[in-house]
Amino acid sequence: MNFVAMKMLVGDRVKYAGIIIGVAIATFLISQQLNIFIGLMASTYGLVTNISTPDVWVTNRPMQDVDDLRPMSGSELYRVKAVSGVLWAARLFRQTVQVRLHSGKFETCMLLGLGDQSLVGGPPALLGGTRLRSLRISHGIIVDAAYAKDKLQGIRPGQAMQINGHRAVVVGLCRTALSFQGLPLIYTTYSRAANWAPAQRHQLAVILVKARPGVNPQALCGRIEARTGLEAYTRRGIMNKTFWYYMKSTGIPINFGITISLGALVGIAIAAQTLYQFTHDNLRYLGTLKAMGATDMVLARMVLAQALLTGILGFGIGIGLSGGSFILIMHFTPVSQRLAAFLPQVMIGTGLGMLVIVVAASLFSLISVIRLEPAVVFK
Amino acid sequence: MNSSSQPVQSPDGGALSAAVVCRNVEKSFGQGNAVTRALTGVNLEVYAGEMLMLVGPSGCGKTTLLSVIAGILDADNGSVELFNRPMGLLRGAEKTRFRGRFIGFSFQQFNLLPQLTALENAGIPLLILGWPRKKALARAAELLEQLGLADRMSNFPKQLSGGQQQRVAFARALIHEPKLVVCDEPTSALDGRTGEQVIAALRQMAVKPGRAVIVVTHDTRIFHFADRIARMDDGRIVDTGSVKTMLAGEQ
Repeated sequence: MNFVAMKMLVGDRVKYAGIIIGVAIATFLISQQLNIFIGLMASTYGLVTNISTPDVWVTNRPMQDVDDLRPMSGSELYRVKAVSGVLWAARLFRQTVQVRLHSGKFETCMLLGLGDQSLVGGPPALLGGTRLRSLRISHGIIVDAAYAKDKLQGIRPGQAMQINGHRAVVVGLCRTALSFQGLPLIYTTYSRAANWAPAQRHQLAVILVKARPGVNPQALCGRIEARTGLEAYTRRGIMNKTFWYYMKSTGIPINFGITISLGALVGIAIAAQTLYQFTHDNLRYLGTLKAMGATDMVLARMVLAQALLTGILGFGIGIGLSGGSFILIMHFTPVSQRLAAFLPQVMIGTGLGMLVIVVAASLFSLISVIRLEPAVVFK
Repeated sequence: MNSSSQPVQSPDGGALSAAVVCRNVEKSFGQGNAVTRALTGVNLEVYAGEMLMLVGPSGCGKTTLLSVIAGILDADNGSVELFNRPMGLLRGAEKTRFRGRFIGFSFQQFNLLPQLTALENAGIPLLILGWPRKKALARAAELLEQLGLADRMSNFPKQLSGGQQQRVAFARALIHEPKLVVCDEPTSALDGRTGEQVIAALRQMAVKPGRAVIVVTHDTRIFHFADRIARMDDGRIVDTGSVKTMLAGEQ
């Protein structure tokens, strides 16, 4: 009877298209907004994403999120190194600076200084043959390629800019994850960064720690906090702290929650209402089938098959639109605005959500099918 | 005039076996002061191999009786037996499957699925019984050909005339070789000539030994196709008899 169900559905083109469009709109709105929300929230801990080597991050207290770092004394590095279970510890400088480009334009950037010897904390991906050790070249900096093209006016390796009045020469390009502030990242050595940036009483923003093999990073955090009075987080821990700070202290989740809910509501209303209306409009024919021997189970399978077909097609179109919008965002918006993501988890989650919606709508419409008196066919 | 319990004679003079037996069937709709007694003690037998026409004024209970006999309405009191099987003992899906296997339906408004072609509509009962689609449609094609619709098989209902739609509905009612065929006002949507043609086709195709056909109608022009006529009034059978005796009685 699935054949009859499909013919009934496809034969009523207006309603068929209406259900598919409803599911597609709901899928698009939910998945696109969720992807943007997740991309935005992931950007809040962009600094952690961009520095992947260490097991433990040590910061001055109190810290709200990874962008709220209060510099500490340089001597803290040696206290942390003295904690048992620490394989190595390295300094990380982090401060916003004004960069003067060759055109004379100023741009605010995030200056990251890596340990002079170890160069621990470098960018996650180096591009075009760039080597991290090139930072040891006099005045050397590595910049994000996308930002170089966009915010830094197309600056290329070999070209220079001024950081707080100091000459800096691009020695390589890298690719970094987007940060919430959307500032271009500039990597250099710790000493150089401390020298270039406006003076502060303390300069050490973070101590990056690698645990000895076999040492639990979480336990190591506890030991570091107990011995030094500083705050220590695992990589996942500092990401979570930052994520929940933004969740609790900003309007982002509420605003996105409203947008996602409204989108879902509109799409669901269209899809579910049209699906219900379709079944309702066909009650006479479903009654005819019932009179002719189709059991409630057969009719339920027919209605579910119709719901699943429209659900799958609508979901496919919606996800296609969502992917298309992601491609458009990535191609046509400035790098600092590319907050969207396109995650398989969102795709699967949205798919399951839409499955629940179409099945629920069809089950709801099935109530009238099951209650249907086949005698209606003689009226 | 015959009483309702007397069997009709087969052409060779032998008694025909009862396909449908109704005893004191009652059916009401509504509750309290708004109750409507649609059937008030119906006694009727329909025999295998005959076409019985159920006639009477509007609202006398013809369609209700047809629904009770076909098992799509339950009687409040009394009993209905189809081929010696008490319908009252069948419940839910079992009754639905019984209808699908043993009863063919033709509805006043035809109720052809508008999204399906004539061929597909005719094949539905076999699809319900679980036949493979190809086999069901092949059987439907044979039947539509016999009903003179060979060139209309791929047409949708709205592309067919009323007479053609009724023939498709007959094909659908007969395709699974049911033991009982029930037709509700099969000619009401047709002009006189077409009505006679389709009822002649129904008679030719449907009336067979071992199968009973019940037709509810107002259309006096088709009475002569019946083997017997049962006249209803006020929720009960008031007369049954052959066409000749019934028409003679009227005169």
